[in-house]
Amino acid sequence: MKYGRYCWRAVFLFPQFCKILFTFSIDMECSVDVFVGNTTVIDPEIYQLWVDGNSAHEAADVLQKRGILQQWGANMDLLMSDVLDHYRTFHMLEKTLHTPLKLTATGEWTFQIDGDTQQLLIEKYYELDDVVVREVLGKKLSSRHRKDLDEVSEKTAISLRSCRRQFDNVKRIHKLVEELPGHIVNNIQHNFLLSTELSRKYAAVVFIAVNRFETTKRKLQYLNFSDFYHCAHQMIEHWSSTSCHATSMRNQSETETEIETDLDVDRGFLHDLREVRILLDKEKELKHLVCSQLKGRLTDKIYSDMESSFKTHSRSLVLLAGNLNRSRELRSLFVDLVERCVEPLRQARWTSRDLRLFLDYYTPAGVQLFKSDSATALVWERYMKVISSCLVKIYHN
Amino acid sequence: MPGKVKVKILAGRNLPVMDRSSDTTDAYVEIKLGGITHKTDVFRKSLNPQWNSEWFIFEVDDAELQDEPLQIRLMDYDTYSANDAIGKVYLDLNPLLVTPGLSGRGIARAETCSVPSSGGTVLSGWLPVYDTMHGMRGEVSVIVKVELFSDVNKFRQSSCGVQFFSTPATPYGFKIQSIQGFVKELVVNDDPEYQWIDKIRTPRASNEARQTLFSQLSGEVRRKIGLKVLELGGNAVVGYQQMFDLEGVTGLVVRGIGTAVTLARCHFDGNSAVTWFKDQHHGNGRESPRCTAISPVDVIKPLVSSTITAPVVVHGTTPSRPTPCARRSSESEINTTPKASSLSDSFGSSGGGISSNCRPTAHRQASVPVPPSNTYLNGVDVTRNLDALEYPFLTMKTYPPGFIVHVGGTVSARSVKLLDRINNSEEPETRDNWWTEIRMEVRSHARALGCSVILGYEEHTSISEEVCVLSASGTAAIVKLQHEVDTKDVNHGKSNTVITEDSKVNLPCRVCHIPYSKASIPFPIKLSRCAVCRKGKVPDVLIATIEPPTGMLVSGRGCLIQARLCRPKRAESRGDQQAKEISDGLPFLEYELHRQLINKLRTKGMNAIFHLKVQVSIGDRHVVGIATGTALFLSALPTPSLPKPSNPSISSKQSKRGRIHKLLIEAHAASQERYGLNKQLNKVNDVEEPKWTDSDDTDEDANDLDLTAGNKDSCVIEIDDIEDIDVIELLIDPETPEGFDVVNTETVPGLPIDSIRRRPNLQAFNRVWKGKIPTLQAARHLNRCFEMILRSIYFKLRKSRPCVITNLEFSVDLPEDDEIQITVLGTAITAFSKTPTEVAPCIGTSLRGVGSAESEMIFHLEDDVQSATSNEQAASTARVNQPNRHIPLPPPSNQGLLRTPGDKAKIFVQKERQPVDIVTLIHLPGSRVERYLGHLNFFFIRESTSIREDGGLSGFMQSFITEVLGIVRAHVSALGGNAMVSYFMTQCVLLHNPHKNQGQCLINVGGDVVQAARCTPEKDV
Repeated sequence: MKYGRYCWRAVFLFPQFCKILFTFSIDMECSVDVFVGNTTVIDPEIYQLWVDGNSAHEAADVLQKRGILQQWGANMDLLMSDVLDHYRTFHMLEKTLHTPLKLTATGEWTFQIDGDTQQLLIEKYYELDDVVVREVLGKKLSSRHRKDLDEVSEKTAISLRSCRRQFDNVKRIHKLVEELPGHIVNNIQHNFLLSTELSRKYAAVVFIAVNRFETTKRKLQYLNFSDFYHCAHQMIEHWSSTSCHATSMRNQSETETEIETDLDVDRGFLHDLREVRILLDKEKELKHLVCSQLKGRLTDKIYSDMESSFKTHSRSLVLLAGNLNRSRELRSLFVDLVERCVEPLRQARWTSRDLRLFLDYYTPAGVQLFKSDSATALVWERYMKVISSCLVKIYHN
Repeated sequence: MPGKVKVKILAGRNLPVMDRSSDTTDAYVEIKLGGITHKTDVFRKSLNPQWNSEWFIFEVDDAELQDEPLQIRLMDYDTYSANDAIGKVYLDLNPLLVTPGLSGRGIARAETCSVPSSGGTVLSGWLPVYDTMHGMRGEVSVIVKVELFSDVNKFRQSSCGVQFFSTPATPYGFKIQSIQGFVKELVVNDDPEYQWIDKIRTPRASNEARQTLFSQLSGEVRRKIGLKVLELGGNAVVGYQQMFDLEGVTGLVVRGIGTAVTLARCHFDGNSAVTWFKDQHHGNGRESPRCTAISPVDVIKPLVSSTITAPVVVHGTTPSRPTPCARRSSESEINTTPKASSLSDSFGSSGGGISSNCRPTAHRQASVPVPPSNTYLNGVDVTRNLDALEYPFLTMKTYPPGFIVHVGGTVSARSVKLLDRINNSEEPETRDNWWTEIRMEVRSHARALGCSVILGYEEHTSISEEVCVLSASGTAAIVKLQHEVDTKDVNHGKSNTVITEDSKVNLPCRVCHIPYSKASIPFPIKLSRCAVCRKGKVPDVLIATIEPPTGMLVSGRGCLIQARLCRPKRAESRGDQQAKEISDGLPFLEYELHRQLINKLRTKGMNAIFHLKVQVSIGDRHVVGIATGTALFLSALPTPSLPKPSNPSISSKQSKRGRIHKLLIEAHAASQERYGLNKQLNKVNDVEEPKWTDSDDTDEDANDLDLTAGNKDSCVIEIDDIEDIDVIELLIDPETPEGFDVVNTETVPGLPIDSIRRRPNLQAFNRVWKGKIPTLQAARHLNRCFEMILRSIYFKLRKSRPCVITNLEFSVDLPEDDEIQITVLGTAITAFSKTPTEVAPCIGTSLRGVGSAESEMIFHLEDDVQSATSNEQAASTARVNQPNRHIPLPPPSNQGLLRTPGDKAKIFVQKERQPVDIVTLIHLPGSRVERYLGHLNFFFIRESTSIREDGGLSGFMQSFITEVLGIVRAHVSALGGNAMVSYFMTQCVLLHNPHKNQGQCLINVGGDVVQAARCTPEKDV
């Protein structure tokens, strides 16, 4: 009797039955679905996906493709709920990540995260993609350029969100560090708690931005970020006001220690660099010195080219040094290096080994010629150290 | 008597920008206690103001000290317009009021700390500034000192010395000298949200008025309970539970219950005899609670004939057959009568006034004033004092070994009430009477089971519009009152040996034996001989609300068991009609819930449930019942038989039945395998089967048949219709994934020690889920929701396996028509993954763990803890010395010009900040609780008018709970603690108005602040 009645209802309800089944599959949707632990749960894998600019759905898709569902016996809903949970946490964390010192401060109780994870969060968040930085490099960090990031994203195949994050990070660090005295790498490390490696990357970007080096010219397109990174650090190390190379400005620099930053190229040094123009007059001797040393060490072809065009090569290097105290010249340093040194040498088919050899003997030769003026000799050495290193680095295709 | 509160505001930081034009804030602080307000100067144009104020001094009555929170409000000064509020800090001063003598904290402070104020205690630290509309807004650094003058006035209104523990057990480092008994208090007030003024004030003002009021009421309830405790001669309350009933228009009820005890520091230096239920305060003790209790029982609204008490579900019995049981449950009035008479028959007493009154009200009226004067059966003569106690209820869940003699079973009572306006909030009689009725009923149920006390007592309400369901439940038991309590045993569970040694008296299986004589059983029950001692009689299933008592023999491991039920309710009925409908439906709900639970238990092949918690929630369209417990196999109890499906009516369904039967067998086998029951079972079968067929067996069986009226096979599932098939499908839980152990008790019963790691990673978690219930197949959907929630928790914790999830607590709300909100609270104990070397268990302890089943029961972490005491210093230094892995490499060395060596050091010292652990447990696995620093109880309200922008309701809730936990951690730390135990979240009310893009949430959280020392692995060896 009872059974019969049920059947009757079932028959009548049949059209609705399908609907019920259907709603079951989608009706598990909910308005609130959160999991909050006392210790903030961070999944490094999902965090990486977030940092890379994936949306929650994209991240879930990626994870699904990695086989997470089979591995843990879950379904897509669970995964989605988990990913969303993480994404909300990251979203909340993001504000704090802008000032990492707040994240690690003693009285910060909102998020309870152990030291290792904090480090991971910060490091990953400030992670830079070289290709993206290369595009950002030398551009003014304004909102106008932020809008253009979709082009960067297209070009580099890195998601727009990730590009924006990197752009904003660079801007943020730039803004804070710009005015701080002292060592830029240290400053970045202390204020943003980044690893040395990453801090150095940011330092390079900030250095190039502060000194407004020209990096976007068509001729410079072949240079990648690691080239600039190398050059910038060479300059920070040897040319900046805080670099401890003994110069004629030594006395002055000691008194101004407080306000000095290694973001600025040492003005006094640039000023003194004008003196090296003397070398233009001593070109013969210089050529002799260098050629005698290099003979036999270079292939004949290169040697003959070097001998014939020594004047041009030497001249461009010396003139560059002499003009660096003009800020426009300093800004176009990379352009000049490429135009005047790299391109002619490349045409002459020098190898980078040849270049290194040449520079190795060219610098001491100059020093030798400044025998009477040890100060200028030091300036020359300081100049050439950076230039040689940079030239070798950027001498590639 | 006065107390002096001194407050100093040092600084603020990370404040929000209040002045858009200058991007800064002109902040100052208002400090308010009671009616007095002090202000600091305005610190101009800074987001990190340094006030460094003088000491603000408040001289207040100590009753006020207990009731009033210290309110620290940060304001933004505005020359031309009204000053804007930045946010507030509510400081509960109660943790600072504990007198030095008791807490042990004071002693230690006096010895170790150089706090200038004598006897006073200090709170200092960065506390998050919280705004109900914006959430957390920076932090403020404060120092608060309290100097208290002791008060011995007989007529005083304060109870400053009494310490509160939400820990439902003996706090660590203490011993209970005597138990004074059950204490309760109830305060009624108007809810500010529903006052007329709410129409004209801002949401912020309204929320703050509410927060302040909740804080005050909470303090008041504690103060009043404290007074009772002092009258009774106690000095502390353990197992304190405080509930807020948000009745809406009719007001707000704050209830507190707990167990008054006399605590003393124990010094681990020998055993001291402890008298439980000491007689000395007998005279005093009787007067005060009685006064409040004996108030004329007049039902204010006699109209509500629906004041119907739901049935006693005397667990510990099996439902013999659906039909008779259902009848028994549904007709509760008739039901009480035979029980009472059977009581009086067997004990030859009048049984109080519980004679043949069929009207429930009348029955209660009679029973209240006359406490039964007879002594019940148990050999201990001190029991007389129990009758003296009006309510022999204990709210603790864990008891010292040997304290519990017999466990009778779970007793519970429910009653449906219609809310009416509380006319006079000064005399909350109606509510008091409601609870009195229900408590009396619980007591009478316990007596029907021949038990004198109720352990693990809890009270709950569920409110939907004007209907309110009150429930009370506990475990009826017989306890040994004059007991030599070895304090070490109490705290460290070493007594197992003690108990087993004198096995004549204290059989480990004794706890399971029935406390009533066979002849006097008031209801059909299947009994059998105890499988361990073969002397006592045991029921075939034991269900209790307490933790498994120490010393119980368990085979295999425990696991979570849950029955879920959803019954539809007509939405259109209102008032009386609705109350009537609910109360008519409750017995069925409860019966079904019980049946489901028992069948699930059998499917798992287990025979006992502990820490059972039954929650009934009512909503507009549904009534939902959830029963959660930890199932385990007690060696003393008989092996359960697998439920057999049968459908006598339809033969055509044979094949289907077979399929279901197969499913059940498979599930059974899987569970046996999973929880390690196989071994034990074989043993039982091999060794005990022959004896089973001996002479006493036949006698037993005959008895059974008599009682159950010929239904020998008690677990037959009838399949009459499709719904029943659903029911069976619901019986089979999906398996818990490998690597997880899930229980709702403190520890996993039967899990060897070395499984829980030496240095575990503790994670208390809050899971909130809210979704729709379809009207059709609601029960099935509910089941899916719960399964999904559990699975999502496993999935969430997937990377930290092996993982033990303990103290899982579910609560269900039905806020809207078709919405259900499930809140889950629990503690995940996972291996400390970062240092795998520490995971290696030491040989000594693991051997112990395997050797005796008793030592695995409970407290099993503490024996290592105790041995660790001496090396504590070593531990702390070891931790400090741990190499720091994330120090960035030093920058190139030739650039050292401007670098100060101190800089770097400072930064990385900060990283060594000690985390604050929060657990829902009473102990901290892997750590030892050193001091209790007070009980905290917070009430937070968060409102937002930009829900969509905040990432939806989920985003709103997640950030709110995150912030709440953050604030709790900050307060724990400011009090000098590093962990919170017995963490609870009793309220989580979420209101949402999607059209206005607005949402509001209320949360009540709290727990006991403790200072704990980590045990390092080397100490355990």
